[in-house]
Amino acid sequence: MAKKFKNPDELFKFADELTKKDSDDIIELRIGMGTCGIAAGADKVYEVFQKEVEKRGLKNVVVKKVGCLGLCFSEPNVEVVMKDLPNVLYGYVDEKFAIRILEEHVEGKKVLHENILDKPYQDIYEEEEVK
Amino acid sequence: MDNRKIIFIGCQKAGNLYDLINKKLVDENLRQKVHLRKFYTFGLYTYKNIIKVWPDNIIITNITEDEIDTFIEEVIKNGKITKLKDKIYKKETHPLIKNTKVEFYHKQFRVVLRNSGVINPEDINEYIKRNGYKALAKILKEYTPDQVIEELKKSGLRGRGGGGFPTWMKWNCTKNVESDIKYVICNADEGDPGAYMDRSILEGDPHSVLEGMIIAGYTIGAKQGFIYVRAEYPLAIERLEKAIKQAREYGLLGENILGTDFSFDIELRLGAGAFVCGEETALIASIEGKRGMPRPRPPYPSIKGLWDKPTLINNVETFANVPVILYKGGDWYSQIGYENSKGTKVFALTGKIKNSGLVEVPMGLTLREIIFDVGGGLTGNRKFKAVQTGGPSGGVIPEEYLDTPIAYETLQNLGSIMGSGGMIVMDNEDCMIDVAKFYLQFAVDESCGKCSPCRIGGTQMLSILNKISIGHGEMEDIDKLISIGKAMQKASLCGLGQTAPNPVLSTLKYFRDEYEEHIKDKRCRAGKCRELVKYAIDPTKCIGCTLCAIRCPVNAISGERKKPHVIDQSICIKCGECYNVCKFGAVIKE
Repeated sequence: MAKKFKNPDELFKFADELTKKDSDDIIELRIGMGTCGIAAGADKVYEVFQKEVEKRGLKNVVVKKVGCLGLCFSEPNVEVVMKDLPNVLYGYVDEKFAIRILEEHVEGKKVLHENILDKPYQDIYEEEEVK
Repeated sequence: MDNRKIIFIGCQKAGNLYDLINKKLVDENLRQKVHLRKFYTFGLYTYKNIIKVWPDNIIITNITEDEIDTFIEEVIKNGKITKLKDKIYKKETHPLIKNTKVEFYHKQFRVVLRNSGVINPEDINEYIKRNGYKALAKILKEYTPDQVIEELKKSGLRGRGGGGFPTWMKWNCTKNVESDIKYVICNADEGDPGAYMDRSILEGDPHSVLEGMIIAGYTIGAKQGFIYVRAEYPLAIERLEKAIKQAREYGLLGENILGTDFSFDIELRLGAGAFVCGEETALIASIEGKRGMPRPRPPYPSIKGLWDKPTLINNVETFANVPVILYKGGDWYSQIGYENSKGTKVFALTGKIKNSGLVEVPMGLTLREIIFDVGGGLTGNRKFKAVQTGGPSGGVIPEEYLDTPIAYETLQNLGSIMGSGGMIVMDNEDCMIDVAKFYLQFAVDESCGKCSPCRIGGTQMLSILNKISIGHGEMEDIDKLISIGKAMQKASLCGLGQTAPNPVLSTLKYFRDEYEEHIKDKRCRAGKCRELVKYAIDPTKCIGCTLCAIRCPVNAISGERKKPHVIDQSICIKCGECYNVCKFGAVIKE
């Protein structure tokens, strides 16, 4: 798969290509899967998402493992990133709630009523996007 | 497509704002026009009510009940905000994060954890997409090692492992030593109770640590790096191994990195869980295959380290900062933070705190802001007593110092340390002698036994503490604790022994009255020291429900139904079960 970069410029070029490839229609489900999330049951939530996304044939949905967000008290945490809706972070997600996220938020395009958390921070790259 | 507005209403300090807005909207027949959602917000100390409006993407703060009409009028009906204009949150410069446009009501600003929770840590492409390895490419293209050190110097970065030694000095020192073989070591032997920052960085963004190490290798002229990580972190190890493999495939590790003459590789070394191996000389001994014991310094590892070669050793968090500094520039980084402590620090908030978890805040934020704004205050809204920072090497900080800005020097002046970043919040039910005992016990267990001040001093201090906690203490014990503690600080060989007395000395400094109470009055006000607690039943409150008698594991409670019960003190084992189960508050702990 991967080829070795032959010089520094190739890496910059590759990074640009990766950014360009991003399509608007992709819906990302980011599941916090650090040790803390997994201990709280994030691995089961992850499996449910994978299984259900396949079952429903949702081709533009990416189920993504991510690291810890730092909100240990509300694990497992899932962030839904999709066009036409704000990024929403849900806490206390269990297997049942995961299916509701898929049905109501991803397919129904409606933000759920429960367990919404404010993403607690800004990071350095969001700042660039603001500019 | 549904193009109704979504209104998010912050719901913990907002009181009944949600209900009021909801009712108003129903009354005015506007409820169907918008989506209303509650959300749980953070960092609300200065801003009481936060409302986010989407898709307008504005944040309105401090809305009062009287302004709800105006809010509905302006935001929902005509979408033109005039009267509430002053309440719109403006992204403005904050003294701790200059020249950035950060929404600082969050109080968290992420540099080290920038990718954690955003990218898939097992996919190098996602890291590259978020500007990953660009700093390395830039350096290999146009920077000399001296320029890298110059940027680090400008940034003001200091070691995040606890000591706070300026990073550029360490790098410069190792660079200037003549040697054909040099090493870079990443210290990921995180052992403090209650601390897990390094684990989260390694699990959430392993490539940032690798990139920092590769840059270090280029700067000091090393070809080999080691990550010394605890075997107790299997997921971190797994993700690191994947990351290293992917970086090799891309030519970012190994021979001729990015087609240049520079070669560097990284291997993992697993620690078997000895706390002392977090000390740099003990860690080096452990990598060499020897027993993990510290040796006297100097010579420092930068002169004579791993296999007697010059070795640069930094903590995980320090390395994770490096790519950002070189990507955005040292000047940019130095705008974040406070006085001589630049940048951000990750803390692990644990103990009696509502929002327990990892937080990354700019240096200089006060303890109060971290605990009450970011952390949401204490569980059950109980009264704050103290916060313990720095693990077994740190100390406690009482309430009167909550407004101290967090920095290396300020914490040291209070008798604690920044340490790796554990922060344990304690309330009135925590006994300070018990806390000191816990940390000292930890240090005694983990002492390697090589030097006598640590080996004997720790044990002696612990036995005095035990004596005090069972009510056999004498007033002179306090002086003994202080004199042994001071001797340990001065004479111990390594950081473990030098800092082991800190929890005792700092609790003595701020809570001496509690020690005296244990000794003179044989009383533990927190009810933690079992031998000093006595349970009794208040006959005026007891209704004779028999629940405590049923639950008592040793049948020490007797009495007839519907009549006050009594506890037989000669049988009672002070387990506290009766106290916990009584629904009428009739069991008294004294």
